[in-house]
Amino acid sequence: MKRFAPLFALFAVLVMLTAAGCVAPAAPASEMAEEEMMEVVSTGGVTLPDDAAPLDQQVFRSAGIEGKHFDTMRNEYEGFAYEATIEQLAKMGPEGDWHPAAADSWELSDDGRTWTFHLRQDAKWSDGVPVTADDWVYSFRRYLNPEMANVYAWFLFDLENGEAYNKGEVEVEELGVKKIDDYTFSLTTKVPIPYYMFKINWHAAPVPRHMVEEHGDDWANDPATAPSNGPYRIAEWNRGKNVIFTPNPHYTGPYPATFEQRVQVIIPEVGAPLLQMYQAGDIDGGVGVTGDDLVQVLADPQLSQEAYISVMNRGVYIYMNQRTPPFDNILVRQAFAHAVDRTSLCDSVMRGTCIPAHGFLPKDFPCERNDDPELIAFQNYDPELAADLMAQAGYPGGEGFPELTIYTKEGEFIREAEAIQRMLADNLGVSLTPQNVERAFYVDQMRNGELKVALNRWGADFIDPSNFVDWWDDPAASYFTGWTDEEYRNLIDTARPMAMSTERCDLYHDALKILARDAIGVFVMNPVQAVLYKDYVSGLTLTDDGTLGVYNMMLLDSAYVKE
Amino acid sequence: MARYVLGRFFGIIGVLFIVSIMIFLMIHSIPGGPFDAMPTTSEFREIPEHIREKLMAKYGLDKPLYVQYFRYMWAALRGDFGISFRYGEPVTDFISRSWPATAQLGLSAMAIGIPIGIGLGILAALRPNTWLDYLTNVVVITTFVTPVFVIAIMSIIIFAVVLRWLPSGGWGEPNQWILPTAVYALGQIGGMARFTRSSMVDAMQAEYVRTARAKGLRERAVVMRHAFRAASLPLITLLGPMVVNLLLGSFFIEAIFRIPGIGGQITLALYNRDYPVIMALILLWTFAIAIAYLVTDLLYGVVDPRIRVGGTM
Repeated sequence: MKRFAPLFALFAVLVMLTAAGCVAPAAPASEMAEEEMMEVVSTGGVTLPDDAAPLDQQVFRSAGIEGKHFDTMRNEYEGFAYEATIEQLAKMGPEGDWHPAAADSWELSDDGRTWTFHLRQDAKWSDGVPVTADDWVYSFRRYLNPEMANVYAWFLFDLENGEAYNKGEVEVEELGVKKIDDYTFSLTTKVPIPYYMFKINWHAAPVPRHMVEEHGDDWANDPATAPSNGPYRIAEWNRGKNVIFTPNPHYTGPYPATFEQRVQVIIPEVGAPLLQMYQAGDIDGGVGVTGDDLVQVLADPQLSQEAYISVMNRGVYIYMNQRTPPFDNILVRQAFAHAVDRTSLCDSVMRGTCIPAHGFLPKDFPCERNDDPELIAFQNYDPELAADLMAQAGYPGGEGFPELTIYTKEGEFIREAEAIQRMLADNLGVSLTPQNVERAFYVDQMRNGELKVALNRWGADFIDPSNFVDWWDDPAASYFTGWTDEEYRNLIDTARPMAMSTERCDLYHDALKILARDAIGVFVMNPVQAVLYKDYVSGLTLTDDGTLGVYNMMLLDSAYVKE
Repeated sequence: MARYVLGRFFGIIGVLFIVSIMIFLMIHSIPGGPFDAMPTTSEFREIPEHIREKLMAKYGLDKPLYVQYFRYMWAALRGDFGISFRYGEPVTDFISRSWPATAQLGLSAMAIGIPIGIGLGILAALRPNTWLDYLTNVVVITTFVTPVFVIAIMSIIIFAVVLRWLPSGGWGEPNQWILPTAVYALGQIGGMARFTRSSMVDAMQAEYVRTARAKGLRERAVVMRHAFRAASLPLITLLGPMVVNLLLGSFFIEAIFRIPGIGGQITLALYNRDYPVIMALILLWTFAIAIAYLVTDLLYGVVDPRIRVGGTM
């Protein structure tokens, strides 16, 4: 506090001038004794554990940016705040297992392409209208309807005729979405996709057909016309401030609301001091911190107790445009790969907020084998070898190598890029200037091939290795480098439709080794993050070893506020 | 006088047209467009070409630039500033729901910051090189050199995190107004005090002040009626744009304290390539600045009869 003393004095003066009534919230101590004797039953019908706080304190507040609407199936940019309100067909638990939600059961056909879902028959929208297979079929069709111009439409392009219908080439009846009876429908994919459950349950939820037909796309702009099928309904949307969810009175499913209110506090797209908001008690959890904030959290006795630490499902790598010199030369790329000291980057520069990587799959991701010595050898830190390779490439000591800008975007990886350009300068004699730019510029420059080198990242859309390997040689991908390889394509095409197995992982690992061997990217690290939940938020659904789990959709399902 | 104001007013309309053309050309020449990639996801996914084309057509962005401009201006003249790509609501709705918070914050900061700043400046000028002057100087320099976001974050750490007296941000409850208003006002005090002090020091040495004193006027009258009146001319010059800036908000204050105003919106809109919002806000800003200068010029005349505009009032 001492170093704040002069400012503190100033603020004290100002506060005295401006403030009259700032009252600290106090718990009514006298009432507590009575409450303790009573069982606390939530409005959603859940009997909360003995240590639960009284009902009026059963509120959970998280933070998020404002979306355009609540329509999960029309993400022109992105709908928002649907975590509490939509009920997926099934929910993935902390260990990656599937649990019935809107569907009681489901089965996969023998050819591995058709998924049939049996819906819960008593399901209702929060306005009391039944949720039927018609709603689901309508929603999937609408998602891909060419008139919707849905920018996420590609997400369902692997449905049979998904892309063709979206391009207006076939009629909607040809689409691989079929109603079987009022409470049964099926989805058919082009090829078998073993991870399809994850894919559809992450993005897809039904839209209330009766509202869409009455109000058009505006249904999702107003809580009054946007009923939910999940445990909570949208009670209020106060633009720029918050969205308030209250228990859905018509919910009959397996995950009834434990909280009386869930609140999404709306934060601006940039600049909100999330950690301070959390510390001040203005949000209760779900705050992810990385980098310097993470260092602060780990050093703080209180915050470190409330932190769930994990390696993020993100690979950070050096993007190199391989269409033109100098990165069309494999020797240059390999020299770069051997010139980056990942251990010193993560331990010293980033103070333990990342872990070094030599392959592209994040630690603990399915099929991840980053400890394979053969994989490591392709990109291990070896400054002498790096200098040799650079000389062989025709740039001894960096002589003749063009001066380039190494781009980062949106304020991310600035320090990492500084450290890496330093290592490259020291070990290879090349001169790269780090520059952080806004995303629209970054994407534009990458798309038209102007951008030569960047410190880039890839995060998982769904938990399957295919998500990390499928796009490298795809000219339509944002991060296409100009590289293609037949052997690589064969490996991933063979692996993709296979059921998860060691053989499938072997194929993916071989593909990942090609990426590392030919230095298509220089794989650098995976960031570490801490997600904070206040100690009074109890009953989180965690993995067996007490972590949050990857894409755990059940995390808050039995959570409550304890005394 | 009326003719003068009318003339200036037509000038402002001309300026608005020129600015609108310049801004329109500039925002469309920045690399990247609103539908290049999905901006609110954590990673970039290219939007498929056939969908991008549909979106561009839906928002009229596929037409030649001059067509887009004339369409825009034709609609704008009838009060339709388009629909925000980012928020999906008409720009006029967006501004009319966001602006009150910004205006309230700006007016309160002004009401607190400007009198305190002027007062401190006068006091410092009356007692030059005393402890009061030095103290003022410390306040002025501290608030002047410390970036507003540092002060804002520190105020949150002190009053919201450590002392728990006030919320860390948000807007609506009176206790949420205190921190941002105080921080914003503090930012105004420094400049105001410094400027007032230097004008007042000059004025206090002027001969008419000595004359006033020789006439036997009370010191209070000398300072306020003679010295300050003369010293306030440069202050009025400063106040015009300052009021406009306060009314249009601060990016840092609004972002850090989560105030749903328009302060941060020009920056965000540029970032999102939200063309309709950029255009509307810059035109609004241009208009406000132009009006502020007009008012400033008229105020000169009130304060100093020598520069009364347009001849007879």
